Amino acid sequence: MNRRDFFRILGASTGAAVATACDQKVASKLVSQLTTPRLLPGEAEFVRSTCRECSAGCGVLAKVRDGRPVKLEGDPDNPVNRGALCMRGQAGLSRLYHPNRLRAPQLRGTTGEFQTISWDEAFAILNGALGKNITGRRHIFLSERTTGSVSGFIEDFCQKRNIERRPELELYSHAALRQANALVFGRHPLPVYDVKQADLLITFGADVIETFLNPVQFAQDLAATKLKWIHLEPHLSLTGVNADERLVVRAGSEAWLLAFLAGELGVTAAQAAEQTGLKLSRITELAERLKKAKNPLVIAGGVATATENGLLAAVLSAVLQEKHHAPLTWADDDRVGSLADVVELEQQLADGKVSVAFFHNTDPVTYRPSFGAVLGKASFRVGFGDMLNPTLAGCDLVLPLSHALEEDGAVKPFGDTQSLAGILQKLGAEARPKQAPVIQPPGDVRKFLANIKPTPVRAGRTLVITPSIRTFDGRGECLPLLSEIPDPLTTVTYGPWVTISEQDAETLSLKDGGIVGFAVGGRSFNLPVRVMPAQPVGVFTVQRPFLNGASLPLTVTGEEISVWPLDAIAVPAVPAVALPFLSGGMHAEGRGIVPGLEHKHEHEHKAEHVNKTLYPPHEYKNYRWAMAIDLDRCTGCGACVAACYVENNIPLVGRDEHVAGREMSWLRIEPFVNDAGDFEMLPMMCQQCDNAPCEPVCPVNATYHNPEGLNAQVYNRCVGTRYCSNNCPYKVRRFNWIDHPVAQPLDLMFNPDVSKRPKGVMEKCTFCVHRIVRAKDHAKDEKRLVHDGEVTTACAQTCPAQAIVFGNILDEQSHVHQQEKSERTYRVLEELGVEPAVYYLTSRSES
Amino acid sequence: MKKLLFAAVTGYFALAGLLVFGLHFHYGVFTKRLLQPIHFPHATHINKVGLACTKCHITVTNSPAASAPPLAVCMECHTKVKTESPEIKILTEHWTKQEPIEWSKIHQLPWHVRFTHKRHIAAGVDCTVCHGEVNTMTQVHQVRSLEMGWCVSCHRENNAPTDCWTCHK
Repeated sequence: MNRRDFFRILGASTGAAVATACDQKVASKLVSQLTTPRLLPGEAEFVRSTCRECSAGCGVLAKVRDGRPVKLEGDPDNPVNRGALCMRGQAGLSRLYHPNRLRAPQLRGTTGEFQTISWDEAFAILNGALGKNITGRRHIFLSERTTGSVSGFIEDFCQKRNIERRPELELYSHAALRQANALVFGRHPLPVYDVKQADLLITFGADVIETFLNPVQFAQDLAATKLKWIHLEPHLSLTGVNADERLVVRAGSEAWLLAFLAGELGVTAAQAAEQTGLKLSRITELAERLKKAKNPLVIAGGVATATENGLLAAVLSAVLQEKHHAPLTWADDDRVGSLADVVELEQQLADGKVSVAFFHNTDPVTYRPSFGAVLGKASFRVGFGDMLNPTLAGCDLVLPLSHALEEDGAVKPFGDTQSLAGILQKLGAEARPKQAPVIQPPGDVRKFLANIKPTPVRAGRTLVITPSIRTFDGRGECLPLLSEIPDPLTTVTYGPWVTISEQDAETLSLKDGGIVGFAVGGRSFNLPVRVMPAQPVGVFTVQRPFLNGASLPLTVTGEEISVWPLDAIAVPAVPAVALPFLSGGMHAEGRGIVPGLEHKHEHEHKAEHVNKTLYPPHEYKNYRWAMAIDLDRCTGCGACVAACYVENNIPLVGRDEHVAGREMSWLRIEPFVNDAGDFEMLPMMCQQCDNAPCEPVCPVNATYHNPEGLNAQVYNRCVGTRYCSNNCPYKVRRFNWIDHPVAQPLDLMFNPDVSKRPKGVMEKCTFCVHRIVRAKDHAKDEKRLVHDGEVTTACAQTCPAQAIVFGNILDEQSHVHQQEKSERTYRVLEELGVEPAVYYLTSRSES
Repeated sequence: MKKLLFAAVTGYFALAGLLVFGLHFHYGVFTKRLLQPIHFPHATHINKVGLACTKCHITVTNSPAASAPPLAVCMECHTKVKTESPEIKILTEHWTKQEPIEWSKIHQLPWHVRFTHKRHIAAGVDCTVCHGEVNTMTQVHQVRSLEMGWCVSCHRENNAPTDCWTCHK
């Protein structure tokens, strides 16, 4: 042995000794509380709150573990959403833990940078600014939509401090509907449509299961009723593909058809056919069906009421509603104005008429960049919000608002934040009793209709601007989960993009990710395209948040015009971008993944093709967990996907990993389209097969068949060969290629019942086994088996359409057992003989 | 000279090995026993006073965690008993300042384990099976490995579930 070897061995062995000595568990703490805690260790409590990711205001229950909310679920007692919650609502919890949240009052210093100050200083500055009276100038208060006690506090504050309370700002104010309802019904607030009482529903442009009014409620009611639903739209939307019939009309032509259906303005069927582009026979048939229906309901909204003919369309739909005694109730009174009010405020600012300007959770600068240019003309600007947005960034004093959940004592607050009501109280405001709704006499509809004529529809390419099912008016853009979950129809994750038809793609020689250039609202955009089957030719669809920075022109009702002529479209000579979308192909290529009529024979004769096996079948003692998914109910809205992400601590991997095909979702929605352009949305997760192909190929037995029928995955046993994933016919296994660190304090949102998976480990849907374990534990205490309905998965719990049923299929009384016996039941790729435990029920129209 | 070098290397390895083994098995002796903020003698409370484990570990029968007793439980007796002892003075100070005590956790399970005390107590498993003769310890230390093989052997003997997902999360 020479000297070098000696030192080599010496070094290696010392290293080993040190490494072994370090291999001790890090001592953690065991805390003695002062008194007996209210809850047992590991027990969750539920805190009531309201979601504000859109203007519907669904009720939520936050599941709180050790003072930290870990999941939101719909509040079953809330009449708006009755226990369900959409994708936006599920993702909304991360707002509480957002790394960008403001934690203390901020004052703009002399250098222009924000400096942290105390609340006492902030109140002193505020009182000082409000005390200064400048002749010719007024204080103003601009807020998001508020209701109830918060609205009362703002009202009282504004009156006591002599502040002008501006009409509240919502980008989707539905101002045309409000004006039409005031004219026809004498009511300013928005209606609640009870579709359960209707036997025929005709929707014009209103994306009722995506963003229109109360989308969760619409999805619930539409799934529970058997009414006929016809949807008319200029573009391709998730709402359209879920209607019983989807009719494509030219953008802006809806008022012509409505006028014909209502028998107003002397519009003939031929004129309506010419303007809408529908066949004459289609239009007369539609009128016939409307006449025959006992309780028809016609709703215009969304893109149909945000055009030059928008107000007329809204009025005509209200006229039809009144004529057919449509089942309407009215939402709470609010003070929502429109963007026209923002334009007015912009003028006041420009004229130097504003002294102190308050902005509460609202962002006019994003909708109208010109507003930002005049914002500085107010003497002093105060912003209230949870994170900086372009408007708040232009303020002098920014006061951080607490999350609604923090106002309840059960949740530990982050930082030094206060509620708006609390702040206004300290400034002297008091609570006000709820005001009775304003009911005015209806206006003169006859006079209105006598003085209006629908504008003829322009031919040629059209840009249709829609709200986003994921981020609504853009307020969800700051929530990373919403970019990670695919847009349901296009399956694009990280935007922006423009949806174009296959024919337009051919004409312009574009493929997915190719760049198209156009100008809108005083700004030019170069956006990648996503080519979609069934997208109407000549129609380009873009979601509003992708056009931030543009000032879109307004309709007479003060809404942004959402239909824009695209005559000057350019294909710039720039390379295509890698657009991250998750669908490999939307055509099932005859495999019957969602069986059509051509698969009916196969399906009925499946007993003749029994798969032979040498192995005995699995024997289950008490439980065999299974799932049934009713595709007739499923709308593909993606709420289940979001619920799954939050419940199971699934990492968010970002755009680049998506482009590389390394998304981590345990549950995905697969859109399939047939040759007729009809879509089927198929939720796909681990099928928990009886003869699971993943199990026998694992060299270390990290995945195995559990005694209750689940394909279990043991993370710390997994060595990452990925054989299981390669052998899975459903492609539902996900591999952690890298570690996915989470920005602090978002890690506090992790569900403590579910492991965080490290790099190099395979993961997949577990049928929410931690929920099963909890339910079994509870049942065991009472010396019985788990009842049907006692345990459900996160996806089934949140589903607005109640399409997913989970339970023990050995229990013959269970809902899932009954669903399995349905005539419509099939299993995906059943011919492989893997015996999946997820049963799908085909759509009624197809079976 | 060569022989001497060989002996030195062998000796070095033997020493290093001993050190490693020693640390591995007796690490707790040097560290954990001394880390508690209050010298709490389990032996006195169990053997001399005759308290049952569940008297203080109040959540052990109905929840996953045994948890450290709330200070209110300690103060049921220690407002009167041994109030002059220096250790009890630390306790009283925490109680008057209303500050929780942070004990060092002796029995730790890895991140991927789903364990519940409740089911084990309900099945009639005595505390000593996993925690050893705590009634003889003045300061608690770990006597069982709490490793998977040890858990599974007991589960097998007692016909308890051995499905991985019973304990792995």
